[in-house]
Amino acid sequence: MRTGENNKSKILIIEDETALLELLSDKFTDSGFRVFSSETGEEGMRLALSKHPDIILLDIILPKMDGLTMLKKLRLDKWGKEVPVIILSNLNDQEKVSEAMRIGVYDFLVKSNVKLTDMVEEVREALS
Amino acid sequence: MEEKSNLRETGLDVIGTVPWGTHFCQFYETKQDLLDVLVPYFKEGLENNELCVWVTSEFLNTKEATAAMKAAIPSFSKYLKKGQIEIFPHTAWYLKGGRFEMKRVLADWVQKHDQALTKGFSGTRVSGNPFWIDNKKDWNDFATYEAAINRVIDQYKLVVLCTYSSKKCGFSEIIDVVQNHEFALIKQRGKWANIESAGHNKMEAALRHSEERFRSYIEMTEQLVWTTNARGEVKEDLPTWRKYTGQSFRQLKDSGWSKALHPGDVKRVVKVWKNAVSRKIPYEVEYRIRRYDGLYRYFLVRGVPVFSTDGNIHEWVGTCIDISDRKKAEEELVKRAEQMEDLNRFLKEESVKKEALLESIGDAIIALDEKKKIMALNKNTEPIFGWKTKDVLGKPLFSLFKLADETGKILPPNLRPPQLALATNQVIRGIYLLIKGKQNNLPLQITSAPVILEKKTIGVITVYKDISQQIAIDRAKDEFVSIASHELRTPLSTIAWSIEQLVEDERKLSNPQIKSLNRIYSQTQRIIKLTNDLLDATKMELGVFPYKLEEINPLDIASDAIIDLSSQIELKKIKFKTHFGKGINAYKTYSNALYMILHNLLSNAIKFTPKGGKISLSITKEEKEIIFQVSDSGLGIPKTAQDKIFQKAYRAGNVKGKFEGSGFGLYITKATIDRLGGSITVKSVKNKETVFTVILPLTQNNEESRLRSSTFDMIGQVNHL
Repeated sequence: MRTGENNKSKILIIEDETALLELLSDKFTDSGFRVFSSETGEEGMRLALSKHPDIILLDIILPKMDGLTMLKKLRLDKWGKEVPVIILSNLNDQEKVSEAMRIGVYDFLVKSNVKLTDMVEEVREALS
Repeated sequence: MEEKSNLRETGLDVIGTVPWGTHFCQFYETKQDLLDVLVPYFKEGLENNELCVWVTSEFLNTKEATAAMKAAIPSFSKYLKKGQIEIFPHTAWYLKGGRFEMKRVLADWVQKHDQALTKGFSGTRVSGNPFWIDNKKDWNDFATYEAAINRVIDQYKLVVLCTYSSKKCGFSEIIDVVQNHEFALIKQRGKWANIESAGHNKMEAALRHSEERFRSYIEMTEQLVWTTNARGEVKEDLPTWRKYTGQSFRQLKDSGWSKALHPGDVKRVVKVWKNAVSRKIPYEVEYRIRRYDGLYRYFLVRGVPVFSTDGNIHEWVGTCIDISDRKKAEEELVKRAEQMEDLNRFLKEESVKKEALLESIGDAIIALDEKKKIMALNKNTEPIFGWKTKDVLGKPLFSLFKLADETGKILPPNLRPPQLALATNQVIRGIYLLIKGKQNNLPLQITSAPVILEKKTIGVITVYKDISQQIAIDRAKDEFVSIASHELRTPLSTIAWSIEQLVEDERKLSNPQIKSLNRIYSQTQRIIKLTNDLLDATKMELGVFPYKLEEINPLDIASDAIIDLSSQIELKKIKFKTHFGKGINAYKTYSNALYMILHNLLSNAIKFTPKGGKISLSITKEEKEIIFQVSDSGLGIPKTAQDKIFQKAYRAGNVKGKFEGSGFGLYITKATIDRLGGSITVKSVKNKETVFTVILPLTQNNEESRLRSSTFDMIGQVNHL
């Protein structure tokens, strides 16, 4: 476990379901991440562009701006073009997965099918 | 002039003038009777430049005749010298060569006549006496000869006077003589009288002649001519009727003729006939008359009453004209007309039917001719294209609207379905967008089929199906499944993650607490699995097929599934074998669907196979299909359960309560295989072996899936355009 706020990896979690957002924030904070969180696509976008996190966990169904639209906009940004994004959703439609893959994501995880621990592993893998 | 010179003075007051060609006679008793007539007769001839030929017999020999003439005419010797008069004894004329020969005598007369004209005489005046005849045969011959003279005398400039001894003629001979001459001179009470008879005969002959001519006309025209008395009874022979019907006169006589009528016509004919008789009017009726050979032919029968001077009907005359051919032609005509009418009606019906058929089809249909002009279309085209059918009929289709492909790219005419169908002679089907303006582009499923007549493409029929509704429904279904899965999974994920977090720091919890949390966790996982299966099954049932076509090798998919299940295989120390056949290459299929099928079958096999058991996967390729076999040495499936295992939420008795499961796995698997156009079967021996065989076609032409996969893209297009 790393010490010192500046050495910590920054993760931005965008999730509108408060309970899930808390669980995720706690888990990643406990796992040594510096966590930024947002419950809307719009704010998430702003945070992403201002905080430049190392990785983003992105839900699809979000108020104000849905996850995939935010992802598209993010990819238009010079920095945002490169940042790894993991879609974390309870939607697993073939179409959504395809679209996300087309825009460019690291992975597409279905919440109910993954453990928190597995998710942390996945993020670490993505950052390594 | 000619008329005048045609008339000759006879020299006899009682007769006066006669035309050339007159043949008359005298009955005499005495020598004086002969002289009374013959001398003035020949005197007149000589004075009128006629050649005179006198054949003598009784009472007067040639000398006496010459003497009588000389006495009457002072310059007679001059005429003799000139050869204007010749007097023969009957032996030198009629009996020349010893007997009477009609032909010779006639020829001699003709020769004399011709000579006379050659010598410049106006004609020939002759007289002969058949007193020499002494037997019946010669008399008959002579009578025939006289009749022959009558037939030809008109052609010659001849006047003939025959003298008959009244003593020698019996009654029948007198009748012969009178009949054969135009008139006869007979001395009555000391005076010569002219008995007109031959003149009458001549008229009769003329009548007979014209009648004959008429008859031959009739025979030529094949008409039947008839005469009846006032009551309609046949009293005279009807030769034409006889000839046609084959009836004898005896058979047709009186009302016998009606037996030749068609039985079906008699009643009607009698009615017409009675009406005509009672009203004394001509009538016209058609009926069938039996021919001699039994054949009935149609006749048009006309009858006209002939009135006598007292105003009563004297007789009926009429004709029967054969109109069978006309009738037949008429009937033929009527039949043709009926046929035409039938045809017309049929065509009308057909066109109505065709129209009804066109209209009854829910989709829009347009038929184009080979010039791509609209030949026919139905009303359903109106809401789609926004036109009135009558306005576009006959117009070239391609100028009427723009069409884009699924991605919104506007198609040139040669890539539009009807043109493609015409060019390739094949049915073209696809999803297109009808360009209607900014917001309202209409997704259409278009099917174009060429119309081929006698190996020639004569047009193309195109069906336009508005699928916007279908797309909307599909979208609604997708949304429902998405929302349902999202909404159900979100609380479940929260619970699962919360328990995960709780259990993470075991030190804070008591053993019973940990046990409880593990139970809650595993049950939550069960609900999540059940939810996923339920959603998948619902998707299947709603017709949502969430897979995409990709070019992929099924062996790679199988490897993925095996790798994903490898930890479980290792855990149960299962001996896993694979057999991959030859020639299995990448092909276009729904890769995720295939993965799901194999994953489900293999994980089932693992679940029901005891530790250390055997599982094998075999993949082989046939000509048109690919065969997957998953066998295990597990529990087996009871016979009674084998046909139920693919039902929704079915769980066999031997696994219920012992193994986790929703009962949806095989249901979803089978539903997916069905969608791919394949089949799944199972063979199982309890506690020994279970083999699942899946056969999938190598070519995917599942229209609906294709349609769906393209409609998804199109929703985007519709929205964007």
